Amino acid sequence: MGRAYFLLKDPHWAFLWWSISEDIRKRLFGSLSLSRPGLSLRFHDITDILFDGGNSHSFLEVAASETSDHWYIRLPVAGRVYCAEVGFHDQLGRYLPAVRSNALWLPPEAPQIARPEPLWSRLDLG
Amino acid sequence: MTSDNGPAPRTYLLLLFNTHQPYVRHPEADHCLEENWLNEAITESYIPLLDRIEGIARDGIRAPLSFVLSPTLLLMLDDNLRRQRYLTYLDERLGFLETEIHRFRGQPDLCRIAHLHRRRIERCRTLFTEMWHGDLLGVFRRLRRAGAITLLPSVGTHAYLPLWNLFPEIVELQVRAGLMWHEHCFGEKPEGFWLPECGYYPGLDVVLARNGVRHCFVDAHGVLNGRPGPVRGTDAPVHTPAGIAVLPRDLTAHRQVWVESEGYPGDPIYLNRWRDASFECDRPTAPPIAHELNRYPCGVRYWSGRESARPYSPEAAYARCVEHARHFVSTLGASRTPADRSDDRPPLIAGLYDTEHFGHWWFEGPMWLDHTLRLLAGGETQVQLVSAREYLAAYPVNQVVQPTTSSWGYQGYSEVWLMGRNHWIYPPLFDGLEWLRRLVGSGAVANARLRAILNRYLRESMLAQASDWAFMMHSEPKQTYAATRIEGHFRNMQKLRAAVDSNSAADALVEHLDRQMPLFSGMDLLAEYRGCLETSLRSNELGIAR
Repeated sequence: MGRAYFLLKDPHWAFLWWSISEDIRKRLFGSLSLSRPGLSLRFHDITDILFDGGNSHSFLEVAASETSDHWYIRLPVAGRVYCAEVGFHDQLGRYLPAVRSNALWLPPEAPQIARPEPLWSRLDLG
Repeated sequence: MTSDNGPAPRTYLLLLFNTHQPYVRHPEADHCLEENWLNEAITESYIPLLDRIEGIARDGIRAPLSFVLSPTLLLMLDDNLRRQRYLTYLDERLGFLETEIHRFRGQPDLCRIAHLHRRRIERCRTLFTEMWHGDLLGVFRRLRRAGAITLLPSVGTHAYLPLWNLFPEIVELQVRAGLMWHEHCFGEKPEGFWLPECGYYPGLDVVLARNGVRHCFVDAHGVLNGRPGPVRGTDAPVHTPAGIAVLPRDLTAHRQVWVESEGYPGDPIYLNRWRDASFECDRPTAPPIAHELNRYPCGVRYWSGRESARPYSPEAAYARCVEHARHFVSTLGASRTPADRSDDRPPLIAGLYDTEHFGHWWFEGPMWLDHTLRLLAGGETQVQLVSAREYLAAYPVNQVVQPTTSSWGYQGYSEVWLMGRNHWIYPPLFDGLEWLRRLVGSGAVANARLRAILNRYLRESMLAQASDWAFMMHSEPKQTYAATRIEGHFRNMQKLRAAVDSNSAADALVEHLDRQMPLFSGMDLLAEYRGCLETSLRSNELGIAR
């Protein structure tokens, strides 16, 4: 089918690269009539959930051209886990993902304000 | 842990020098400018620093310093081709300095600086050939045995690990290769480990712990933004959930010593490294320093300060160095007191630097270090120099904190190695690694010829994984070489992969590449890779990028 790599740049920015197989491309852009031209990228907040494609907390959608294969995206909240999909909208407006990326955990951008009671451990070097 | 002489320390100081050069080796060319990166580092930083450290040890001063020696640097320092070419490099400069002394025969202020540079290069030549017999690794070994320095390894080919965590088997392989090559060179299993660019991500501690590493270093915000928040800030190490001690970089020690715009190196008394003689001399008198068409920095400079046109004064620079060493030691002692905490443990200040900063970038850096070490040992300060082992043995209990993904690169994360000019390198490398994962995972690597091809494939991939190339592409001047190197490794990988896919021989190609760039000779990287892949699968680490 294809694949997508989702890489961290900083607590807000990520880089998505994808490849969609020729077969899928033909099906997407050949036989099917699309309700929107080009590709649609979805960036899902999947923090603390097992993502099944439809249960993300929220998602951000971005239109990309059919020929593009990468995207830099500013994600809304640092410290959350995101997953990206590259897909399209069919003639009924339904979103059909072609490839899904790995999950990407954005690091927190600031120190923790509410600090729990610290835990301590011992390291014996021997 | 108390000071040998003088009062109890108010501050502990750890000084670490990260010593790395990208793997550059071109036997096919008579003269390769990129090989000068190592030659410059040896001449301007490694030899001056080792010379000073030997002097300090000879004077009976105990000054425990930590040196990271990256595997690619170890390979080049132990390479006869590079040794021979280094001597040629020195001789070229000595020849050039003869013409410079002649050029300045009517200008005593500049002529004496040319003499200073000639004495400096002659000293390098004497130490390298007559005293150390071309064996810089031997000097590091001797200093380690004498207890003067601690040596730390880094990953195999200086991969910036946060961008490789989609391939945990490669992270594991990079860590293992670094540890194995260190043990091969020094005969000891190290406790500490250096992460290139201080690049850390949660989960990397598991890989390090699994391979016997006990401590590593990250940038300050990696610990400050960690979870839960560190109660001692960056004044003490933290322990990760996997049981690794993580020592945070101290930003004050960083800024004072490293940053030209706000620290000591920018002082206008010091040598202006940006105004190089090769751009000022007459072309016909100075081959091969100034070529007919191009000129390249040769390490000979005459002027002080970025803005001024005053000839350099070694006496004034010496006096300023003494002042800066005193300032460093006194501010470290005074500015850090335990605050807002119930314990009275003195803070640990970790000064983490690139070795090439001392001498190559900051000409007076080795002299500053010499003064600083002597002041620290003089008993007039409450700052005590320690190694990580000494500190962790004295303070074995620390807070459990998971540092966040971070680096010491621009803006603190990955943008230097992942941006518009260099992101093209990752998809083909990832694609090749997925192919390798499928092939090796299927178990179809039984015959010796296939194993030889895949061993070379791994070497080519690891050479391309080095963060150096992406870094060079990020800052333009060396872009051409970096891109050419990456593209060359890609071509080699494609040829090797085609041979595997078509079940044809590639003996001549493998032999040629092994001769050209003999990375980790004798190591069965494929066997290591298989082990790493099995470990990653068993640990269920494939899937989430942090």
